[in-house]
Amino acid sequence: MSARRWERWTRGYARASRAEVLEEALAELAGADAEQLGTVVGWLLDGGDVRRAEPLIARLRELDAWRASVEGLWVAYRRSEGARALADAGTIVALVDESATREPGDRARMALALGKICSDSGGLDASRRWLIEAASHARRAVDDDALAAAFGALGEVLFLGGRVLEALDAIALDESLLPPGSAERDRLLVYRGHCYRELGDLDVARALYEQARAAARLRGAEDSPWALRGLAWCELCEPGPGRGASAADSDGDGHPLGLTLLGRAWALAREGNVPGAEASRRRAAEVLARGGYPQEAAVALGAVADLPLPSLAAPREVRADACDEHLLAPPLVPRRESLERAARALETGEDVRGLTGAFF
Amino acid sequence: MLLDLGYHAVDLAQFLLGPLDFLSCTASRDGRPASIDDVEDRASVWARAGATWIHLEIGRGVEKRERVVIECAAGRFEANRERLLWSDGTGGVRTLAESPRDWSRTMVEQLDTFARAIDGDAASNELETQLPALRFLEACYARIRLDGVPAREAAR
Repeated sequence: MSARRWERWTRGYARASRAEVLEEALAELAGADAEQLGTVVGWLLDGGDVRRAEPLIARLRELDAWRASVEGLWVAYRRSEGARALADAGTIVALVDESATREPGDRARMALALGKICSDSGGLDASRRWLIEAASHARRAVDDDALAAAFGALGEVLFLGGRVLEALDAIALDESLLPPGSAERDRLLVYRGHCYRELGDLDVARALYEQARAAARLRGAEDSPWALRGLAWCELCEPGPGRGASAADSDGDGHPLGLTLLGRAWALAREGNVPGAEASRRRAAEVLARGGYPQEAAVALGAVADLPLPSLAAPREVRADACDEHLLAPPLVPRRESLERAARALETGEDVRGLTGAFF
Repeated sequence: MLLDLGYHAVDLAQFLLGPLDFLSCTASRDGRPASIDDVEDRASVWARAGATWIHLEIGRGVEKRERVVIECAAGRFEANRERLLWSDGTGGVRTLAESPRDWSRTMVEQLDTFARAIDGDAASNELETQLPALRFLEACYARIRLDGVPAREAAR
């Protein structure tokens, strides 16, 4: 691979023409050095493409074992197997020790992977420290892309830890570092929506979720399931039992009713009323499908996995069905660890905020 | 808050580093995101000048105080009104300079300059030197407007 062509690709990737650049680079990886191979593997994993990344990681291991192990962490993260990766303490310690001799860009990549895995495993404090370290290394590497990723992840961790204003600050910085037209924008709008929802400003949250849906459609996606979940969650947060219940019991039709029913399902689940939650969820799916909202119906179908423990027994199959039926990509469904964390919060009667884990 | 206290921090950063590239700004009041109609009681501003990153945290407190932290590859400088400290990252902290907390002399000089300005003795180009910092602050407020108010309006 010529140095000139490589430079063109890395510049193009930074400017958000990612899919094209990635395919072009993949087609010409013969003779790539460790840095080039590692970078392309990173691009694949950033997009969640574990299948194509894994054979390249095997090749990378022969050229740079440390970097291959770091990308292995990213694979574990993408497969929701981060907790297992962390349990292999010897490997993690060796990786961290060796990182001292690596370039800032490599160190940022490792710290970011560890930060995201810790966050998924519920270790918010450890995650925060890794992510701050990732940001620090990314700054030294002058890598805005990695910086944006670190601050976005930090925003998520701060939000989950209840530091909503600080989360908004980190998200704003992430947003300012993204190139124009980045596919990450709708995700950030959803995060901001979550923050406003948590602050009780439901009108602003709803507006942000709708903006996220519009942004997702603009970049060619069907919709933003995360924004839809947020909208449903807003119904759950609506003060007083009256609104959700009366809307859910009415004979109305369409989008608002479906989302209200979905919100009510979560509310009932929180109260331990699993049969009621299940019925509400099924009715939500019916109403949304009948009203011509297949994406929302898919979220409602997949919501069985968000309900408490009895439903967690077979979440993967149910979610897979929902995805097949309504063309939702599986990675958009919440990770199992998040769901289990939410279920634990339900079991222990923690504040409703414990459930927010289900939305990431 | 940002216009009042942030101005001095931005002015100082621009004096030391040259023009700043604005990145982001968030502001809040009483623990909630501030809209443009609010007088914020906390603001957070991110900027950079080349490879140097600047984060300004401005907030209302019981006691008036400032703290400047400069982090670099070798360690960290930390200064407040009383002292300048150096930490090398291994746990050791060294005091590089100390000064009395009393700022009365500075205050007298500032008031004297102010009085001369009212009398018409101050340099006529004084205002122009303030413009870069004010422009930067305008970008901060524009971001607060962009992030907060349209979302509220869209929801109505």
